[in-house]
Amino acid sequence: MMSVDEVDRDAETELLTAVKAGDATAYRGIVEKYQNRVYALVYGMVRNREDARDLTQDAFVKAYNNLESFRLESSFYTWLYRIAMNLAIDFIRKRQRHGTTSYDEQIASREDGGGISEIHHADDPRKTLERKRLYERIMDSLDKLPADQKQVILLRELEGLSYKEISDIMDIPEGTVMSRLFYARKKLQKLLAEER
Amino acid sequence: MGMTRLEDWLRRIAEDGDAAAVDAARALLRTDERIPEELRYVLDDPEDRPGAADALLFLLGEGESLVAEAIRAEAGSAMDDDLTANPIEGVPVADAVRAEAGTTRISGAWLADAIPVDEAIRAEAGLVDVADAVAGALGFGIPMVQGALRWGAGAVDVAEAVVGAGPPVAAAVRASAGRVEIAASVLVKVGVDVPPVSHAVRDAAGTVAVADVVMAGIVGADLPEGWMAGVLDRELPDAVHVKAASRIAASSLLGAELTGLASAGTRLRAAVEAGAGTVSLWDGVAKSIGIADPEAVTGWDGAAVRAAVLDEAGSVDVVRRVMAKVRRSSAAPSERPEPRPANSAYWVAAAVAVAATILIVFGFSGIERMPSPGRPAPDMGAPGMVFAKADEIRVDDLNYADDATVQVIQEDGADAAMIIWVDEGKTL
Repeated sequence: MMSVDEVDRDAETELLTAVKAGDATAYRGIVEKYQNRVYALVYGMVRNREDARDLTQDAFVKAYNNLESFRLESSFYTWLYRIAMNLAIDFIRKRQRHGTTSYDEQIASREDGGGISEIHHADDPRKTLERKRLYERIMDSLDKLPADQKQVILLRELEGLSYKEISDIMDIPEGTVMSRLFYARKKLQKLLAEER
Repeated sequence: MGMTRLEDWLRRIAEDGDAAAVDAARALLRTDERIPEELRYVLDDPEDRPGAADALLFLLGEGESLVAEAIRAEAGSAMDDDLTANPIEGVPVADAVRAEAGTTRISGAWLADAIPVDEAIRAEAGLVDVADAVAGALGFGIPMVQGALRWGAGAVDVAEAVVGAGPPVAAAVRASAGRVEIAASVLVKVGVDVPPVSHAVRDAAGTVAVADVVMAGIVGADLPEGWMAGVLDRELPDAVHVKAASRIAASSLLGAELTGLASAGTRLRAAVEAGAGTVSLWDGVAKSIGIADPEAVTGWDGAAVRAAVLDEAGSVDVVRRVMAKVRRSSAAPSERPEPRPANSAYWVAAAVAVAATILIVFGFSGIERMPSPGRPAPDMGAPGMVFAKADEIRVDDLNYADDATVQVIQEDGADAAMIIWVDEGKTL
């Protein structure tokens, strides 16, 4: 009897096989399966919803255009995450290089396309507000991490990927994954403590 | 009686000093070219003729040398025929050889060549099992290391260590230990001071190094910081995790740090997910990859499905139930005739009309006269009425607002008209 994961993998392989055979509409299943997960990761990196949305869409398109080089026996989602993460890193570098938006401007732009959405707490509006402030502090702290630490902590905490999977995505040794995770968490913890 | 050889006469002389034999031997000896000329008259001297005869026999290859006999007597059973072929002067040689070789049987060949001590030692020393020694030195006996060493390292060839050729432990541990790195200092601790082993194992160990934790277990060092993440994420090998976790549990500072790290990660996830929200990207992706209609599905025929469902579904009569649920407006005039069930054709239309947009009449509750088929509608300044004939069923796509009042009025008689009133703005 197959496990849920095995069934899921088989279904995904069928879709990918169909896409590789020329049925582009089958790609919809892949997009719908991963869109929110990839989007959340990219958002964590760039902290702007519109940019995250565009980058995520670009990641899917790029994966589609390069599907010929993807081997079906490999893990599609680690391959996809690598594409998405690389696009996000490139975007951040360009943003820093050109200095098109300062950090403060980015915060303002959150009001339009980003920022923490209202988390409505039915019973206590005060708790809702506190939680929103906490999340904003966390995201501000995350922004202060170096890109490589930010990347590894997002892959671990958001997706729950193993060190091996993170190592494959980022193309670094597992030992490096472990040390970056440790320092990322430690710095995050310290920043959160400072901002209280 | 055949000619007796010189050797025969000499043998008689050596054994019992036969006088007749001496004459014969002397005569033959004088003309025998195998014997050096200076020795052809040794039998003329009556002193020790047996000894002379024996020596002459040795020269002729017929007898054993007394020297050889002496060595054999000294060396015991270690002698073989090679000694007679290579006579050695002096008894003490045997003693020296025995002292060197111990109890190992030495072949005569060593006398000419180097002593094969390493072979002797290997035969004597046997094999040494290092598994227990290493495991004991590690302090906490990682089962996999013990098993790996015993299986792989097994025995160490002491002979090679003695002669300096280098033990095969490196290859054995490399084959067995896999990704576990055993630092050179650990090996030094157990007396296996072979630096290349640590390099060999490190090459094979891959990217996860557990040396720090192993060393922490041995030498009492603090837990390396990077390993906190490994403990938190359960990514360390089991035996190492147990060791590291126990060290954390024993330290309140380390425990607090671990708790802090865990909570930072959890809160981060919540924050990112709250900030990101959700997206639906297929439309954009579809257009980017050249799909004109994002909703299209290759091989899918929606019309056929619709036809199949309608065919199987057939028709239903839910009028009674629907009308039971439809509430009347409080402004409904009591003098208006109660709608009575008529033939089912009209009620099907009525049931549909309740859920549909009115095309007939809007908002009049004070109409005085019900129009009937063939009778023109009174001019009330309202949109014109469209009546269906009694034998016609007219189904229109109708919608009405939540706050509209719908009334279905059926005149008496099978041919009567069905009138639907919609009062927008009036709530029930």
